[in-house]
Amino acid sequence: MKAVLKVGGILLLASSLLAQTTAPTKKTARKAVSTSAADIQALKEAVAAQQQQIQTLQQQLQQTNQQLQQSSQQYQTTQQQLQQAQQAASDAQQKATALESSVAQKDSVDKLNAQYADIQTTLTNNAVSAQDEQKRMTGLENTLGRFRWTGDVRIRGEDFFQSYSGCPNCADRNRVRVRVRFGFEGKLNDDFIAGVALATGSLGDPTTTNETFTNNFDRKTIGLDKGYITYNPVAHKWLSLTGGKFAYLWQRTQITGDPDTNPEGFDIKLNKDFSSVPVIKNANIQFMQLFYNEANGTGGLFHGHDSYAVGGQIGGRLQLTKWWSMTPSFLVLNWRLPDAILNSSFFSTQQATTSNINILLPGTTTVAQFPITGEGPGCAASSGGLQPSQACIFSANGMTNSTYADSAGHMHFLSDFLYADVILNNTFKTKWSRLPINLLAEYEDNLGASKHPFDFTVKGAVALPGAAVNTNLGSQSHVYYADISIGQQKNRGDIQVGYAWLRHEQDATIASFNESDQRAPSNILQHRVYALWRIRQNTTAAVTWWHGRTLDPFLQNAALAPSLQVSDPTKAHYLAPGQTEPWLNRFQFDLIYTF
Amino acid sequence: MRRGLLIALFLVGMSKGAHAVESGELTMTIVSAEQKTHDRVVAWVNDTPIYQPDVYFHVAVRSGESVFEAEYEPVSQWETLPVFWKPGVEVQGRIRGHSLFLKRPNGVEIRFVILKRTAVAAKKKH
Repeated sequence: MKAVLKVGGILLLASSLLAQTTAPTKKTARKAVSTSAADIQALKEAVAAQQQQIQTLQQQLQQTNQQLQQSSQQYQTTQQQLQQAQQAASDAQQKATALESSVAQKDSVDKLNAQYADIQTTLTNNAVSAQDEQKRMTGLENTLGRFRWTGDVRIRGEDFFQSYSGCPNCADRNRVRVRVRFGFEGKLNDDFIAGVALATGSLGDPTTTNETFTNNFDRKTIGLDKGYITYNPVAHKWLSLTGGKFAYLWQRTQITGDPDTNPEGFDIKLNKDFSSVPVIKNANIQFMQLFYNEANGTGGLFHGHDSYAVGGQIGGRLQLTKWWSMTPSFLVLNWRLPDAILNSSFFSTQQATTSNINILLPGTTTVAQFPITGEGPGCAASSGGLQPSQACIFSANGMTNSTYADSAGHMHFLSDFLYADVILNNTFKTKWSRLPINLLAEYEDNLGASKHPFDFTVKGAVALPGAAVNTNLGSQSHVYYADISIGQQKNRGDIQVGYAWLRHEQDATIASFNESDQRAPSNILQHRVYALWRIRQNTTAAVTWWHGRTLDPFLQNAALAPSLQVSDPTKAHYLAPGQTEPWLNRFQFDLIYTF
Repeated sequence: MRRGLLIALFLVGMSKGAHAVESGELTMTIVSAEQKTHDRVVAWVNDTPIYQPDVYFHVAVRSGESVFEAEYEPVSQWETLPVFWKPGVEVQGRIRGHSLFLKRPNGVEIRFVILKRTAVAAKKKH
């Protein structure tokens, strides 16, 4: 290409040179013909000068051509370089574009990676943190989970109505009460459980934990309600040993102990479940020893012997049909030296004035009295039949058992107390799972009861109690009890409605520990109608109507309506033989919160 | 002498079964896992009990030629039985004495109390 351009350039210059030399020659010849030698000479010089100029111009032209060629070459080279540069630039641009694109993508990917890494790190940290937190929480839960909080709060409105024609002081009674119980069970290892509970209520009355809204907003008493340890080894689940102050561990009803009472002592239970036996699903036997009076030294009323109850119960669970299950039990409980109850200290009666049988005024049967401090039910008293020295018997709901004073002024029960108690607790399923029918039947007999009750007309000390009994009547040793209801109290919305009937003879059980809400501890005929509604899972509303009267008002220590008396027909408010005490109606409206 | 002998026999009897049997971590197969409740009396209204249903987990797991039935009482009401524990699912666990430790999916162990051990062959006969 370059060679072609060079050849072209030379030919062009050569042709232009030939053209310029020919034309001046023709002009010079025409002038020589007409002019002189001087003119010719001048012309020659002029021609020479022109030729010189032409040569100069040719040289300049050649130089210019050369420069042009060089410029052309340079242009071509530059053009090529430019093209190459453009191509390179284009390539570079493409590459740059591609690079930019890839860089942008890479940036995005990098960003995503970074974000992903951040998220991963955060998640990992969170997971680790959560795991740590979970471990801490689990540890905390495990620690706290070893303790189970228990307790309840109950608010009760209560009304009493009992009257008869001409009664001078049969005023209705209304009161509001609160009961608070709070405690926990700790399971620090698999084999042992320990429990502690506090409860409101008079310290001197084990049959109730209620506090009445009275006494000028004073603070209410709180005492130790329970404190026990149970050994129930995982390796021997059939064995359970309990010691301390604990809730009843055997099957019982209000007949043999108020639900608020927590006995003290020891209990051994042997328990076995049967899954493959047709009818018998469980069998158990247990033994209990309950201490209720510790004697110090070798002297005193009982020569240093302690008072306690010892006994045993055999029970089980029977699945008699698909819809009928029964929990039967048979209890034998012997109360040793129960007279200690009748000679309890001021501390246990928590009375406001002294009237202890050990402090009789000289030469009389009148009890010396002086004020002492103490909150509590005070001495049990009755409107009829009590001997003067019995003014301070430990029985918060009244002492209705037969008692007598010996020649030394010491109080004694007429009967011994050896309980034989049979309970058949039945549940019948219905087609409504939340409405089972419950039927509890109980028969209790005090095998240690006197063959005849005390003659209530006998006053003062008795040297031979067997000679001061009413032989027209038989042993007052039996309890008959039935409680039927429909429904249950397990889940929110559950309802239960029931009726209970009780005939409790005078010396069937010790009056000091029986149900405190019924008409009297013993010697009563009692009806009870009740209804419960589980408003929330932890809250129950209940209403109970107690309708009861004394069974035989002509027995010693019988509880009688205000001012009624059976000893002197000449005086007012005499209850003649054949007449009965007016019914006492007691209504209770409860709201119970449990946790 | 006789009393001492009786006490010794009693203690020997008590210690029997209390021997710790320890295993390393094993792969166990869930035979059954259920959440159940048993009723606990929290208060009485006279002779009428007020119940509180207490939740517990009952599992049966197979390990080797044995099936272990065990129970666990959750420490809080928010603790639930792992939903992944279905029959046939394998879990990591270990046995120590009368305790069966099963790992939850999150790695936390639950300690069950073993109630019953049955040989698989005996189980199949049932």
